[in-house]
Amino acid sequence: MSTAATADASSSGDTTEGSVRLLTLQSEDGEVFEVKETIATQSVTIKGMVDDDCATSTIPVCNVTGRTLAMVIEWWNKHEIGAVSNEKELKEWESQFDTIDDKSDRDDVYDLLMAANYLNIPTLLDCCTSAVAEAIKGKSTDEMREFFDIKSDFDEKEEDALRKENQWAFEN
Amino acid sequence: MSSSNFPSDLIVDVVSYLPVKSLCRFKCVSKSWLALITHPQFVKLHHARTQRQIFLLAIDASLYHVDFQTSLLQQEPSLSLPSSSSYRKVVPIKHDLPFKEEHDRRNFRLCSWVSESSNGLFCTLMLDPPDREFFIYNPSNREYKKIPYIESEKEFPTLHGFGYAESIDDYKFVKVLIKRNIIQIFSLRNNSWKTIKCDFPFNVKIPLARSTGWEYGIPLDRSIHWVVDVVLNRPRRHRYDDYYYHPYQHRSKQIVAFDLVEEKFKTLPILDQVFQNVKRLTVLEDRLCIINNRDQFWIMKKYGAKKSWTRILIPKKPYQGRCSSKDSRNFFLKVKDNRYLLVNLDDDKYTAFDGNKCYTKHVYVENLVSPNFHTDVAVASEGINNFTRL
Repeated sequence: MSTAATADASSSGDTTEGSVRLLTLQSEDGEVFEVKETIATQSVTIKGMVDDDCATSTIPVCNVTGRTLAMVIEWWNKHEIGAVSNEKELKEWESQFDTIDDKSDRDDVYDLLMAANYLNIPTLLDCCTSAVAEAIKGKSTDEMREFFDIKSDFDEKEEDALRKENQWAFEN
Repeated sequence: MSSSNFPSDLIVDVVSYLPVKSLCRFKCVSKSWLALITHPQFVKLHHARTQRQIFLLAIDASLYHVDFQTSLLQQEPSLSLPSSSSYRKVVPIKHDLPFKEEHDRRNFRLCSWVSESSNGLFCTLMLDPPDREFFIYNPSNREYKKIPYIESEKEFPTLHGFGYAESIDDYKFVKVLIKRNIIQIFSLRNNSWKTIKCDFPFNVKIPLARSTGWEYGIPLDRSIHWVVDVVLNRPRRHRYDDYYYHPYQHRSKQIVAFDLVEEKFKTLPILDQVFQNVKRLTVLEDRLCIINNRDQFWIMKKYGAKKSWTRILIPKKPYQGRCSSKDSRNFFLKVKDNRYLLVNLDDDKYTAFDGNKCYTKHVYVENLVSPNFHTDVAVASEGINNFTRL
C-alpha cells in the first residue's frame, strides 16, 4: 500500500489559498499537515468542528500517527469531487485495499480503519472493513479468537454441540 | 495487526461483510459472537451488505450449489456461442440437504422459493408417499424447519405456495383447498397454522392434463401467484368430477394472487394474446413473467397493470430446448449434449455447466435468516450488549 503523503503542505504558513481555507491537522506524534477544508470535511468529525467554528487553530488528531494521517489525506485527495476524472480509475486505486497479504499491509489497514472510525469517514470505513472481512473470512475459530483477542466462554460440551450443528461450515 | 483493542462496533462492521459460511463457523468463537450472528438486526444488516447470489441446481437427482462470483472461470471453446459473447465454465458443488437423512430413500423436490428481494428461504416438498412433508430450508446456513402436519395432506386439488412479506417480516406457507373452499396458512413467525375461508372471486378448475408444478405458486413481493383455469359459465353439468374442467366448458386462464399480508385473493389483469398456450409462470427481472408454448417471454412491467404486459426478446437461437428463469437478469437455457447455459442479459455472458437431467434451477441471495424464528429471539437476547450498536 502506498504511503506517499500528498498533503497540501503550504510553506508560507498562510491559511488561505485563494478562497479555499486550509485546516491544520496535527497527528498524535506531532506531524503537522495543512489540508484544504473542502477535502478534510469528508470527515464527519472535522466537518462538525468547522460548522461549529472550532477549526480555527490546529486540530489535534489523537490516536492517529503521521504516517496514517498521510494515508487518510491521500484518500481524501483521491475522493475529492473532480479529483479523479473517471470512476474506473478510482476503483482501481481503491482495489489496493482489497488484498491484505503481508503484515505491513495489515497494520496499515488496521491503522486506517481506526483513523476512519475516529475521524468518521464513511467511505474509507466501508472500504477498510470489507478489506478486513476479506482477510479473515477463511480463518478458523481459533485464529479468530487470537485475531480479536477473545477467550471462548463455551464449555466443551456446548462448543461440541455448536460445531456439530454447523459441521458443514468447517469443511472445505 | 494488533487487534486486541478492536472496538466492538467495528467488529460488527467487519463481520457484517463476511459470507454466511464463515459466520456459521464463527458462531463457535464465543457466546457474544453467537448472539451477534443470530441477532435479527445483525441478520438484516448482513443481508443488506453482502448480497451474494448463489444458484441451486438439481442435476441428476442430486443438489448442487454454484457461486458464480467465486467460481473458477475457464474457457469453453467447444460450444458454438455467439462470437460477441464471453462465457465460462463452472463446477457445481454438491449440496447435501441436512434433513435428507430423515428421507434417505426418498426423492426430493424443491417446490417453491422466494424471489431475490424476499429473503432466500425455500420450501421443499418430500414427495415420498404416504407422507407428504414440507420443509422450509435456508441453503445459506443449512437451517430447516419441518412444517407441522395438518390433516389436509392428501387432499386434492390443492394450491401450494410459500412467500415472504417484508412489511410484517414473516414467511407464510399457504395451502388452498379448492374442494373445501378454505385456505390453510402456516406462519413461520407464529409457528402455527390457521384456517380461513377462501374468497376466490370465481369458480376455479384444475386442468385434467396437468403440467409439472401447476399447483406451486410463484412468490413476488408480498403475494403468491398461480395460473388457474376458471369457468365463466357452465351451461350444463357433466359427469366428470366437479373440480376438473370439461373440454366443452367455456373457460379462461387467470393469474390469481394471494396477498400474504391481507390474506386475500385478487386477480391480475391479462392480455389475451399473452395467455395463449401459457406454459409457465415465473419471475424475470423482478417481474411476473409468462412463458408460452412458443417460448415467448412476456413480462408484466407494472404490477397489476393490464397494458404493461410486454414481450421481451430472448436470444434463443442457436439453442434448442427449454428455457427457465428465476432471477432478475439471468436465465437458464438447456442446450444440446446435456449442457446448460446461464445467460446474463446485461453483459451477454454465457456460463456453461454439464448435467444430464437438470430438473430445477433456483437462485437465492444468501442470508442468515433462520426458519426457526422463535428460537432466534431466545438466543439473541443473551450477551448482545457486548456489541453496543445493535
